[in-house]
Amino acid sequence: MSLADQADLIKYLNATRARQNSFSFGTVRAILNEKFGVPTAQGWDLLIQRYQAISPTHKDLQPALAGAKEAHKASILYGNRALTIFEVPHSVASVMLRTCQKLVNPQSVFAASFPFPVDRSTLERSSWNAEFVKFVRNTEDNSVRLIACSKRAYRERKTIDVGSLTAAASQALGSYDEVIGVTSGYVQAYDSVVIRPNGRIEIHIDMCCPMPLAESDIIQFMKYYIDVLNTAFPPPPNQQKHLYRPLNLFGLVQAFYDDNDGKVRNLGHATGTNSVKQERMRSRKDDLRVEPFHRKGLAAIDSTDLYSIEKTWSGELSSVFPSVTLPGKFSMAGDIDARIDYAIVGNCSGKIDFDQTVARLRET
Amino acid sequence: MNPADAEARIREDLDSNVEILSACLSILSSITHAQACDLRRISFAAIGRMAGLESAEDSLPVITYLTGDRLPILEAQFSYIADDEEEIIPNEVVRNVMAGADFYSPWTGEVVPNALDHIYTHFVISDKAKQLIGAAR
Repeated sequence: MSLADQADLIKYLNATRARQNSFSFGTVRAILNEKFGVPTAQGWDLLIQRYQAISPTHKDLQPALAGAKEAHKASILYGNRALTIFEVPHSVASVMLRTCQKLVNPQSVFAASFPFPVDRSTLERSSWNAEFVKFVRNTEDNSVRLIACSKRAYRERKTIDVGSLTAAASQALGSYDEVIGVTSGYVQAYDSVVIRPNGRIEIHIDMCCPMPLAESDIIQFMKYYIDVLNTAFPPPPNQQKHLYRPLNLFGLVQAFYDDNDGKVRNLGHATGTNSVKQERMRSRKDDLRVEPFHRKGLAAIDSTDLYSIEKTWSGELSSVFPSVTLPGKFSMAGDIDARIDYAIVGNCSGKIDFDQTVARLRET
Repeated sequence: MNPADAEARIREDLDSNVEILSACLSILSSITHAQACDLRRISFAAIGRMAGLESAEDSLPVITYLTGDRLPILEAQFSYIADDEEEIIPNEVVRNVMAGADFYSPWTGEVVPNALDHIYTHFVISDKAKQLIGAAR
């Protein structure tokens, strides 16, 4: 190890820290500690201080650098994302796989620093439209991933510590017990388009903002990529666009509930007795389906229509539980035309977790 | 720990305080008649109900006894709750925060201002008392 390696380690840790809204610190700790066997800390400040302070020849530095690189890569590819899936004919997918590299813009402001984020002023000046900055071919399954970066705006509500204000400011706030501030800013998003030889095309929207993205924002971001792909790969004249309607995941709500694997953490359902229930376990490790209140409640009524679900499974690391949320609304309950066009995939520590979780998304 | 020994210990220790004695015996009875799934998380209010007390505040001396060394039936647990998510926090971390240490969000890894406002207490049956659960069912 050298001082340069140590500096690299700190650079990767800082870059992963910038991804904290999409990739939890708990997952970073699990990667470093469980997978690479190096000590961690309770928070980012302490973790970075720990590795700044140890000797460049310390035995932990090499595995820590490898772990930090892996965590950073996972944070930009497999952090929390909204995912929509299209199916196109194999022949179309084949053309896309051969030629989609043309969509990458090596002159993009994001390309020069990739995989690290651009600096704040560059981000503020950049366009709202995402640009493809990286083309990656997976030699295992011959799929292709196009990684796109863009500026994404956010607003965040934060509690202000009144005790930290000056006496005059505290006095001016009078008898308010709690003061909430709203901050806004920009964050760099790392979205992906994955094209698979079997004709499956996935659009992954990075959930990188402090507050969850609104459904309308997610749909708008997805529509951008759909338009880019449909423009780049137009259909023959008078035929429907290749990316027309995504897989309808609504049927998976019931299928996920019925499949014995995993844990159902959150369930939305509308009962035949005219109530709407949103039931949730506190922990991802618990299964709502075996909770007595839930079981006895269902036993007491004839029928209920499920409309949303969050399900978790064991992952590659023992303390990280990958999840899928199918965000249906109660208006969809029992409706024959109900559609869920995207899933939220979360808490994946890396490729293994993500691939296993995404493979569960299919039309029923 | 079996129910008879626990009851004898309560009577021995709280002989001079009829109200707390009665409350602790009620809680012991509730535990020995309960299903394990109903005791996975016990709130202050639930302890008050089990003890037959009018308000949750009245349960504080009872909790002090039942989490003490003489008869450690209950064990305090702490959870950090923010943005509708929850994480159990080790007791040692909470002790440090109460002594003035920073608390870091388990999700963002950043310091949480006024962390104690977001840390909540509940109780579980201690490992030593697990065999009391449902013993009288």
